[in-house]
Amino acid sequence: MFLIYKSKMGEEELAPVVKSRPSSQTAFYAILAVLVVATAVLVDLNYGTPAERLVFSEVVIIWGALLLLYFIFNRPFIATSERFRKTESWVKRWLYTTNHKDIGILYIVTALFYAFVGGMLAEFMRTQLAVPQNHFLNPLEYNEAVSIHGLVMIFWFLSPLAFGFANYFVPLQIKAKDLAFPRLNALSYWTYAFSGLLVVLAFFLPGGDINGGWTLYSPLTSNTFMPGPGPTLGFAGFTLLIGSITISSINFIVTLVAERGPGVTWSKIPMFTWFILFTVVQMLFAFPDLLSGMFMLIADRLAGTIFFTSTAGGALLWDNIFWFFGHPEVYIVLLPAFGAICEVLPVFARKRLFGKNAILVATFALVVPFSFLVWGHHMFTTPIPPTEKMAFMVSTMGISLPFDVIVIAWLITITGGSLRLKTPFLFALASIVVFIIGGIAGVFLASVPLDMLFRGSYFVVAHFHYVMVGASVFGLFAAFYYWFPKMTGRMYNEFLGKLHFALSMISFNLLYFPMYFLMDMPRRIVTYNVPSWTLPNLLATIGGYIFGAVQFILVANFIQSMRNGAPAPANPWDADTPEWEPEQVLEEVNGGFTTPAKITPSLGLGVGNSPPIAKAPAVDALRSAQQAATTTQAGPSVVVRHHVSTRPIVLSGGISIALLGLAMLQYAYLGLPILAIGATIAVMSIVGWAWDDMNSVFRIPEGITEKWPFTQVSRLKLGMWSLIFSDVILFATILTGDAYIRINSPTWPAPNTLHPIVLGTISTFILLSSSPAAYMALDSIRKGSTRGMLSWLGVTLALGAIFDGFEFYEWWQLFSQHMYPSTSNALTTYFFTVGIHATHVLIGLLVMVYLIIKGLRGGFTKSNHEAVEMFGIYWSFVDALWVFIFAFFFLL
Amino acid sequence: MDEEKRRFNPIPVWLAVLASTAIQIASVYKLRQYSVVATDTLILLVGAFEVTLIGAYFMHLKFEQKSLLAVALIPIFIVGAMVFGILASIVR
Repeated sequence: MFLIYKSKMGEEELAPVVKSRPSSQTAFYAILAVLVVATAVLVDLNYGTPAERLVFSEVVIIWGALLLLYFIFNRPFIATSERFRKTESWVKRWLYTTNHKDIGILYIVTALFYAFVGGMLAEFMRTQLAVPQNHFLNPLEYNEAVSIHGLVMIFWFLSPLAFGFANYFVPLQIKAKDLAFPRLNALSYWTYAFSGLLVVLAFFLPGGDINGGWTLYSPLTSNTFMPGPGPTLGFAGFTLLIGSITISSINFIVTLVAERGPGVTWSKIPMFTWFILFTVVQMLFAFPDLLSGMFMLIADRLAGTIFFTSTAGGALLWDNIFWFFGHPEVYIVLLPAFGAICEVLPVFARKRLFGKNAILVATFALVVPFSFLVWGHHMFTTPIPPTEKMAFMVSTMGISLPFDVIVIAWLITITGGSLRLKTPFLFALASIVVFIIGGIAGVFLASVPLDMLFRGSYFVVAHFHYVMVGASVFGLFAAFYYWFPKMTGRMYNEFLGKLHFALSMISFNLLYFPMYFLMDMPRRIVTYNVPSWTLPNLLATIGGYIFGAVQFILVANFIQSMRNGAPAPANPWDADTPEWEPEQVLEEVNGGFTTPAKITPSLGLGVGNSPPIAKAPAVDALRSAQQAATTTQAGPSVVVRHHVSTRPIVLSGGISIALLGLAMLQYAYLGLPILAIGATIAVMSIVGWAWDDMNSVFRIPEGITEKWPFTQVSRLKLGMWSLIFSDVILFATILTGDAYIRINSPTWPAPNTLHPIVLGTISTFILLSSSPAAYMALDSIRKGSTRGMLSWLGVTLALGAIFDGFEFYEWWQLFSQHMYPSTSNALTTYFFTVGIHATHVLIGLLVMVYLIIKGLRGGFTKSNHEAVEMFGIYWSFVDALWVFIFAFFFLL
Repeated sequence: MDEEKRRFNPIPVWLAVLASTAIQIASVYKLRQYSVVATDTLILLVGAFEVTLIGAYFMHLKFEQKSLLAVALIPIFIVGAMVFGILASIVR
């Protein structure tokens, strides 16, 4: 995709360009970087003698220093070189793209890769359980396989696969040009891809991978029961994924609210997009809770805090935090598939979707809010109070009602329809059938007495695989076949599609239905010696082998069809949703600098009836579109820019390397240089990102939306508020955890004993004084006074820095008295909570430095100062958080 | 909204926030000896008032669309459910 700019003054807006560096130089440093990481891994894998490892580490440090110098003086990632703008190579297209279609395809392909990883682990597990007294895997290996299978399948396969389709089709369905923040979209993808690699890499590190189950139950995840950098790296990878998901949620929410095309009112939004909206709303509020839990867990492992290892916090605190996230996660996985089913059923039944509004109301008014009120049913076997169990039992049974509405609406839709039994329809139907079977089993589990019997047995395994695997995967398979012609320009092979469906349905039920009869078999045992369990396990294993194998039919069908399939008509299913409408080659162009035109087709693998990619490379299509654009636009002032960016992939890579180093810190001295290298790459990428913004290298207009209900609210402001909403949940979880530990602690220091009130009061006054200073900066620039803005930003910066200085001083004082996070519950909660808050302050300080530099370069004017306003909102939010933290630790 | 209508004098708000903090601190020294529960309740209520002031003025919610304000209530509902549910699980 290109962005086309034309300045208001009619002048070319050329971005600064640095001289391209020779390929040999790039290759040299790329090899250097690979050697650094490879050597680090080798050393930490404990090869060689201690003396050899020491030499290795020194070499690595020297390499790291060289890389650092290179980054500083050669600025490879600060400026976007001319070469990067010519994204003519296939590899560069996929590495640097920010186009929603490309990223959608990347998500889908990567999700399938992780499905292969998770599927292989499942096959290992089933092989182990096929016969009694088997020793195919040892207990640790089995536990690793179980844990990573669950995590990878849920977080790196199911949701990302759905978001592959969402990336591709949501903008088309709402007639948007792209997502609201394309670079952030690419960043979401790359952090997702790298985070999965970190989790897989953890298998090969000392300590192995996470092996305490996908629910990460405490205290199994502590250093005592799960030592080594491997599990820590797994947790770090998971944490990185949550960051990716949060960014993605914000991006989709802003896109859906503010980026809808002309005439696309809420009532005209297709069902798939509605369900994606429901999903991202849940993601925005559910994942920050888990993020705070992961921060606590990593702090327990690396910083010596005792959140989940003390009796005051411990297992029950983790259970609460995890399942508060965990139950909405079930719907996060399920709802996109439901959205796809809502698209497929009416098209293939040739009827309108029955009860569209009832489905939407049932989902938005009941499923989404109630998903946050039922988490306790996962904890019926824990010692939570009986009254609370009863409340959760009622709410859990209640949440099944909206699903009844949805399923009944689907069944009425297909009843009496003129059915076309094509593969998408068959998979949609299969999804409904297995969802009903799994859902009925779920009603049993909502009952406290029955749950006491079934919890922890294979009955539960069967239930959630019917719901999450059957309903979700089959629904997404339906989406796969349904949208394949649109994505590739080719029809898939219908016979292979139906074969895939039939074998999948049979093998899926062979795999999971016998598990309903294993209600007396514990779900977390590595082997068994009970005769009545043998046959169901053997059947399940055979089913598992077949189910895994038949998925290659899907892959083979798609690869073959992309190459030799029949050309697809523009709208092969006669669907009436906007994604099937012909896409315009050139969209409307307004002359202003901040309103670029975009050329939307051509990227992705095809546009319905276009030739396949092999015969019409995307680059050629781009060139044609570029020529069309330049000839269509009047005047010589049109400048074409590539809609690509190196920042997302490099930043994600840097963060991933840094996390690798962080995990290794626990084990070997080598962690530090790896951490330093990764952090350097990440920091330089962020600097480069800021540089891009400052120089309008990649500028998306900060338009004002006219879309109800947020008229006159900018996209940036919607994004900022979404971020703040998620941060509210993050801090609420942390402070609730603190309160939980405090109430459970036998003793707690009285006010003014551990933390001097005087010191806290001074720092509080300083921080609270910075909010009006930030406002004055905004007020100054509104009046057109850049100098005033810079002065007040300087004041805010100074106050913020002094506040953080006070916090570090107090930490220093505590350390000097040998008071550490591990010393007591009070110090664990204090160091952690204040540390997270101080990090927020630090981020605000860095943003202020950026704003000041941009202001000095004349980047803000009376009419263009939105970044200053957004900063003020963020900064005041950080101040407001401190009000509660100050009260909790200094006054209560 | 017109930028002019979004302007306000931040000094009174700032002073109110600082005064609220002073009340919180004074209550620790003067009230806590009589009733810990009452003192803690007062501190939390005054804290909520401070946060409301900061949100309304320095985060500009007072000047935003009512729809944005309504959406801001969603996380409060979720936080309320979480705090209640998690802390209730302590009761034996």
